[in-house]
Amino acid sequence: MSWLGDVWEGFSTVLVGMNITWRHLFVKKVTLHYPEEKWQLPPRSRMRLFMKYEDCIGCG
Amino acid sequence: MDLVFKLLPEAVPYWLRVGLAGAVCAVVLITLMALGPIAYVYVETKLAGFMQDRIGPKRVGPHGLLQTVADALKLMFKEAIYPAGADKMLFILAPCLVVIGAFLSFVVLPFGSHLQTVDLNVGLFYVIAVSSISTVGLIMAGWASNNKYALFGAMRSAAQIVSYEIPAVMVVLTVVTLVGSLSLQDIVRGQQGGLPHWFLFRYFPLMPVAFLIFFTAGLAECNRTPFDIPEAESELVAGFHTEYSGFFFAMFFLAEYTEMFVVSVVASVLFLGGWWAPVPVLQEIPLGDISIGLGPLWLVAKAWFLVFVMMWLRWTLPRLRVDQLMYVAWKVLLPIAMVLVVAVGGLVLWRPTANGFPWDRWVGWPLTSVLFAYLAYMIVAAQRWSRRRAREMAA
Repeated sequence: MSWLGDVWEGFSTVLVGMNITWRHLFVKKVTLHYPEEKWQLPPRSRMRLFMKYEDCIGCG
Repeated sequence: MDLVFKLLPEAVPYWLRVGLAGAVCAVVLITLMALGPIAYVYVETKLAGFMQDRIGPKRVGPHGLLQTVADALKLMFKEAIYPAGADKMLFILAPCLVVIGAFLSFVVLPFGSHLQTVDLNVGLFYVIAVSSISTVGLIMAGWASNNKYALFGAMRSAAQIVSYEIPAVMVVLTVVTLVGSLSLQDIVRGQQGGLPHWFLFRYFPLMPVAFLIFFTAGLAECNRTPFDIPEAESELVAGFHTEYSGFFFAMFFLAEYTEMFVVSVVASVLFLGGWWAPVPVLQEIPLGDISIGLGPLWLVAKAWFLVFVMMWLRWTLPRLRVDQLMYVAWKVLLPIAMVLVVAVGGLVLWRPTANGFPWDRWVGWPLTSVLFAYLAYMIVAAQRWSRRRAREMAA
């Protein structure tokens, strides 16, 4: 009879998984539509790095 | 085909009328078959996105609607590459055979009471026989590619399809015992009278199990995801179509999606009442003298629902191991299918005139309404759940 139990377990766990994916169909999507939307960056973000040649004292 | 045949004037010689009628049907069906996968692939990519909280294709056309068209065009214009040492003749023939195998079943699919190319009296047998042709194509593809992984994929697909054909055929036998005919049109006619009369709800606990077995086996025969070991990309590169490119690759794709549709149509013909509406009132729109039949719409709606379930399963379940696959076929599906054949056969003999168990008429509607109500409830629940999750993430 454990065979029937296994079969039932296999079937019911498939249903559990299907329930999860069905729920995710209607969940709010996390995609960021990049060129149109952008993240709010923290105020002190350095963004793209650049160098001001006159101010540079790195290597003389 | 009979309809087109009667439309042609009597003066035309018989052979020309038959030929023209056949040609018209073939053109309509091939167009359907070629355009269907474009829609399915789009729906599948979108669904995949949604189920993973993404949005799927978006840039090409409105909501990414032209994405698959672009993909198909790209595949058509790509060069077909023949691997060194490949058997070129078999290499070209294989995808053609796979497509033909998938396409031939269309000939007997009953889209409506008269909307069928030929109503073969061995229709069901024909579908089963013809859908196995594509296996030969897969093995040819694997062999001709001169590639270990392709050959592995081909051998796996052969083993898989041979195994899963048996429970599928066994379960089909239960429906055949109920109707006493192999003609798909007769099988559909046997389910007249709305949803409670569909074979899905006959002999209540028995036929639903039969439907599940047929659906699982059908899924395995299309090499769809829980059963996609023949093309397991993480183990075998791409299985039997590793070496294919361009249009030949597109043909394998076409065959896969067509086969999905065929299996779904056959499942809905056998168990979900074919072209009958769930409520007899919705069968046709009366317009005075004539009425517009909605049969084809109902059949296609049922088939697309099943295709949707196949995609749903694909994005839910991980791939089975080879031994698990064989275990499911031989030790789970086949014994249950055999019990079903004996049980349904015995019941049909025992009560030859009665239509199933006495409670059969009363389970259909409650079960389906509970199912759809639950799915609808989950839509609301999902939105609540995602809002709560967003709050927790913010906190």
